[in-house]
Amino acid sequence: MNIIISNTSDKPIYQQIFEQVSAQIVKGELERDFCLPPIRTVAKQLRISVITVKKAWEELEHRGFIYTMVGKGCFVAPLLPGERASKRDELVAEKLKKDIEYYKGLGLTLPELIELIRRYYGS
Amino acid sequence: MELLSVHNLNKKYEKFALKNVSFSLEKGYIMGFVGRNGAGKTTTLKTMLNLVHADGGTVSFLGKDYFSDELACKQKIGLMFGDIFYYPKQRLRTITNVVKRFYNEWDDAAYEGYLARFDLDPEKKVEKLSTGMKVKYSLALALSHHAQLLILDEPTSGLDPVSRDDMLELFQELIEGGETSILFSTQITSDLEKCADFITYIKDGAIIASTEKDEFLDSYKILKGSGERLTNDLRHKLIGCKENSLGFSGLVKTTDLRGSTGLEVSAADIESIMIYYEKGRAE
Amino acid sequence: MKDLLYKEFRLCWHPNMFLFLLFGTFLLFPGWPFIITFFIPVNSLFFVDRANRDVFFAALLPVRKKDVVLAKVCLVAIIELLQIIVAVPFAIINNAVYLKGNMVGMNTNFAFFGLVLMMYAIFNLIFLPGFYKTAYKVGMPIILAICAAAVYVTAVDVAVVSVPVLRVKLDGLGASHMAGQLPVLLAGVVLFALLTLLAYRISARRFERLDL
Repeated sequence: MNIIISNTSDKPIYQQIFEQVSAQIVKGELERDFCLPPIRTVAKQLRISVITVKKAWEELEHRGFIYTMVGKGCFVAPLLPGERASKRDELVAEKLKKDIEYYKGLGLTLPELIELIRRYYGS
Repeated sequence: MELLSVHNLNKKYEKFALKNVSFSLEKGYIMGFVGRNGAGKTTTLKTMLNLVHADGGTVSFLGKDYFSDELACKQKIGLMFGDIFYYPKQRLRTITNVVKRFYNEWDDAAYEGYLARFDLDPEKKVEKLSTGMKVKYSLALALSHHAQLLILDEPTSGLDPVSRDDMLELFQELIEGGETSILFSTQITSDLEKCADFITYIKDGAIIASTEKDEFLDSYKILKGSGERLTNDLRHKLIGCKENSLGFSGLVKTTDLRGSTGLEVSAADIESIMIYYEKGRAE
Repeated sequence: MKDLLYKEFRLCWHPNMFLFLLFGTFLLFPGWPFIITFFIPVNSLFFVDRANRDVFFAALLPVRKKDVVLAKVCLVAIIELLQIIVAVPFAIINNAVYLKGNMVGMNTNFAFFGLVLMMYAIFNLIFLPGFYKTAYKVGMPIILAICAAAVYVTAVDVAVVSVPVLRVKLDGLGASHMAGQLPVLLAGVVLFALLTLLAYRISARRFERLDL
């Protein structure tokens, strides 16, 4: 499991953690039932507040990426490949909706947007 | 589980008063205590510990009333007042041999571990230590009796950046088990950005805020804009404001942010929140 | 409590104290004036304590505040008694050398040490509660206490030398005067104990109320 925190990013730290861990789960890099390190250890290693990590973990659990076993810790949820894909799509949809809002604000049409995405996707 | 709860602490001096100071701290967290010099940080800590007698209020620790069960509570508390160093002519070993006798749960192995970790020579005299080393020695003493609460007044103030970072790492290690909590006052707010879970901010003897750090930071924003945008209505909302010929910048509660379109909004850090609070409203 | 006494001896007792105790040798010289040097060890104890931040150190320990005071008062009493014990042999030498007795003041006999104990009692009663009013200011209480002790010393000395009855009873040397002088020594011991205890009581109450 890898988490890299950026202190200069506008994104709240818990959001950064959530995004990175969920990405690793969606991509299958973290296997089902993988035991996440304890919240307090993560906080110590990342040099951030315990509460921040807790918040990220809660969000992960709330969204079905991990589950908690009392007294044992947090584990990656046993997601079927199909479920993983739908979770991924959920995340994508969320971000896209926000971005599309912005592009609409700039007056972009759908074909124009798709064309731009095509142009820049590989770069 | 609640470890420490301070409720409505009052203390009146001729020129200064603690006013209804209340806050609480759960097991396993770090609370940063901030405020200007003279805002009442040390007085609060001393009053909590009954070194200064409160005019009113209660302190409960591990479910016990601190004022009526002081000795038992003190066994479980590690104390350090950063700018006070005792017995300069004595060797560390001598002082330690005295201190350890008073604690039921003194742990020699833990103490030796801290000496090694801090690179302290027990045969040295206190006066031969640098300020940073003195602070580390005081910490080693405060940490070696399995305290569940560490109350540290300015523990990082005399330390260089590297030692400070080591200290913060140690603090996080200490709370990792989830049983010990740390309450520490500091002027160095960047230390808190790194490791504090909670922030308690005191100004003129009264608590302005005592809450989760992220929540504390999220509840304020910094607004910037040109001078003509500073309407009376906005002026009223700003907690603190700096104005000059190029424009203004001010601190606002996130909840008061509505209607401030066209102004630049940015996140606030602890330092800027303090600075704007202390500056006060623009006239 | 025994831990606090240990603390007093390990951290507050300083090497100069041995030197100060040697002021007992001044009894080799005739007369009371040197007695004032008897206050130097206690005097220095409190000044050094202050430089050591001793009061605050003790207040942070898990101990009762009144026990902090009690340990200190015990150390003071021990120093005073040691001072007397160190002085006794020199008093005996003094008496052997100046066969005709002390020309300046009272002779150093049993009664003398009884009266010295009373002097300490007065000093303790004034100094200790005075100090624990602030637990910080040493100078003023010391000056007041030494003045009181000096007034007492002068009064006793004048009385013993000039009042015939007292002179006969208290100024004599040798075993023949013992019967008359022992009660004075005894009274000194009792008064020292009682007044020092009283000094502790008042000091502890004041220290308890103090904001550090």
